[in-house]
Amino acid sequence: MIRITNLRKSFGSLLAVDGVSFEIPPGETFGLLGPNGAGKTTTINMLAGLLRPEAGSIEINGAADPGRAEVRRGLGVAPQALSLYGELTGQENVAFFGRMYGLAGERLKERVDWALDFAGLTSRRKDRVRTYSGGMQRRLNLACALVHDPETIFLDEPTAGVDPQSRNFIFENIEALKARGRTILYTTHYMEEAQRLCDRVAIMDHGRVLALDTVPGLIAAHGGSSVVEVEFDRPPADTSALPGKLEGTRVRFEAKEPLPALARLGTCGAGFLHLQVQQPDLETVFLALTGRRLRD
Amino acid sequence: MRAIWTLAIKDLRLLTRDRFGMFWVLGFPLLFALFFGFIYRGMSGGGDTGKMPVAIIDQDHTPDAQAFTERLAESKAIDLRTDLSIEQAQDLVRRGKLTAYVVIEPGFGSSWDMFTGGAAPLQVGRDPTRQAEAAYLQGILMETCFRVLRDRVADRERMHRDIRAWSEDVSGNENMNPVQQVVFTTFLTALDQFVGTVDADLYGRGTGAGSDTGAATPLAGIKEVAVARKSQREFSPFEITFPSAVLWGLIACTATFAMSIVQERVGGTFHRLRLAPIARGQIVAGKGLACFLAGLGVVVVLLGIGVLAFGVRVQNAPGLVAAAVCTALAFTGLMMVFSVLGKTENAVAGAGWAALMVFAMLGGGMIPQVFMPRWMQTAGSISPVKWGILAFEGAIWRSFSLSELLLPCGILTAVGVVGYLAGTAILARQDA
Repeated sequence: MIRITNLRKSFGSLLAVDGVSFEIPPGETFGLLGPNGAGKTTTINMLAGLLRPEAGSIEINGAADPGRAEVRRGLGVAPQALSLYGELTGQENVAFFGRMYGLAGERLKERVDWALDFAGLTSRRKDRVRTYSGGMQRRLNLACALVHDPETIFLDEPTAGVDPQSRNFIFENIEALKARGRTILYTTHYMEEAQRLCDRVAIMDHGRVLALDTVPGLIAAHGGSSVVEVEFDRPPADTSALPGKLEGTRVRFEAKEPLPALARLGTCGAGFLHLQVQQPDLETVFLALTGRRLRD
Repeated sequence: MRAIWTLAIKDLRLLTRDRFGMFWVLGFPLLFALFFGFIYRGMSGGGDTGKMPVAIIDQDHTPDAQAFTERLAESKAIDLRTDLSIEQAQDLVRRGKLTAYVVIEPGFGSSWDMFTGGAAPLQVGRDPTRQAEAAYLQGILMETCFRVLRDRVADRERMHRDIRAWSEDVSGNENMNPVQQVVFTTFLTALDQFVGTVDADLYGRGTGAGSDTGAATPLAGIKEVAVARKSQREFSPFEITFPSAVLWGLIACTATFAMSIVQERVGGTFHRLRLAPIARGQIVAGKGLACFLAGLGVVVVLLGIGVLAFGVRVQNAPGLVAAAVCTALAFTGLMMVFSVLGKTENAVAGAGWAALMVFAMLGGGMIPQVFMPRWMQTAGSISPVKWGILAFEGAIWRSFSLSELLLPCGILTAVGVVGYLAGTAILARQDA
């Protein structure tokens, strides 16, 4: 269980985290979604014990001080920056970080093999990391965070700058970790990732949590209506049942529940030539909450 | 301790995989030691390169001029050329190919005569920029003149002939006072009898000739004694250059590891290490241990090469161990200080190398301190390079006892401890 209450941190005049509170029960994948500079990494750094909060409290698995060695031993952190030694091989990197977490002997060997296999890097284990592609380095970054088999995992923008193939590989890895019951805190500014991977999502901006719920809950609460666009094969004879204004053979309207509205359109005496339904997503939610898009 | 060791091994592995870094840590210091070692060996007469190139032109063509040329050619300090005309010699001096040329002018042979002779007519043409060598050459020419004169005296037959000729000069000299003629004639007759009757061995010793080896007795009984050395074995110039080379290796280690700390901070691996269940002090200690071990490795490799291949011999082995440990410790402390001089690799590399260059210059890492003005030698005391070189030289060839090594080793240890603590404290503050 992770619990943070009214966490606050500033750098000079910049208030990076402003009264953030949330709880993550064991086994949950929790997303922090927000644009760059929202305060996600600062929150993770405080949770990992790298930064001391100015106010508020942190509790990780019952311990109040995440800087303590026994707490850190149970945490696996994949930092946003690729934190690897380019002149060491993939295997040497993973083994080195494993040793830093106290692994040795057979157990170390076993875990290194597992982590490299998990990251799909077994065949390149003897190659120096500087020869890896960006996606491979990102996967190795994850392997180094997992080598000591942590119960709680912090993934800070784990897909930043990777190709679609590696991104998909990382998604599958995270889903595998979820299936193994790991507690995961995942930061991203890609709403698709949060939507696919996270059980609950906190939307952050300017150091504050603007909304926190499951993805469907957030959309229901802040996403607004779906936008429906229909193009008929001819102008409908009966326009009284149309939910929007007809322009030529096209009609556009918003609906909380688009399916009943579409069913009504089917009775207006014209066939559909083209139909498009834009459902609200986390991007819409963020836009509704902040007036800005996620990637602005 | 296992975490610190793991960190140190990782850093040493990274160092060995950095070919450019390895060149500065081992390759460059070795080249430095060999380059200056060969130069010093040449200067001290251990090779042909130390000889002064001089041409001689004999315009006198007398046996004395011939003897002068032969004696001059025997000098270990001179590479004598006898095949040049005066014009050719002048041209070579002008082009810097010769230090000087010597012309034995006509009348050189007769200049030895008792009544008609004068100063031996020698002309020396020299490169005006090489004053020290010219002065040295003048001394050699004077010594050679004395040797030729002594050779003449040592040759009894020649002396008899000369005395007879001088007697005839005196008898036939109408301008000489008769009383003076009698005095000279009596003296020369007595001298002729002395040369004819004195014991051959005694005569030879008195003139410096006639020893079994055939070598002439020096003009003065000057003996050269290497006062820094208690043993009488032959001195290797590499014993001077290898301690300096070791210091260059340590300087490169210091700069390399200082930059590696910044690289870790900029690259994120320091951040990642801070996430691990180890203290910041352990991370820093790992870096320090790596730098210390690399420093010791530099000492072992360079001095190993010096001992095995270049005649470097260690007079005080425990002293050398102390010097190596204390110097490596000092440069580990400096590494910690330099690592926090900036927040980027460029800043640390620039500031670190600049400071280390000043230390090297003042401390005698580039030019031995003995060639520096006194005030600069005093200023050099702020440089750990000076104390490092002194400690290594003390153990290798200055015959320092352990108590004499206490001062340099104590200063180096203090530099190491203070530097390490200061660097660690600043790093902690920057990282907070």
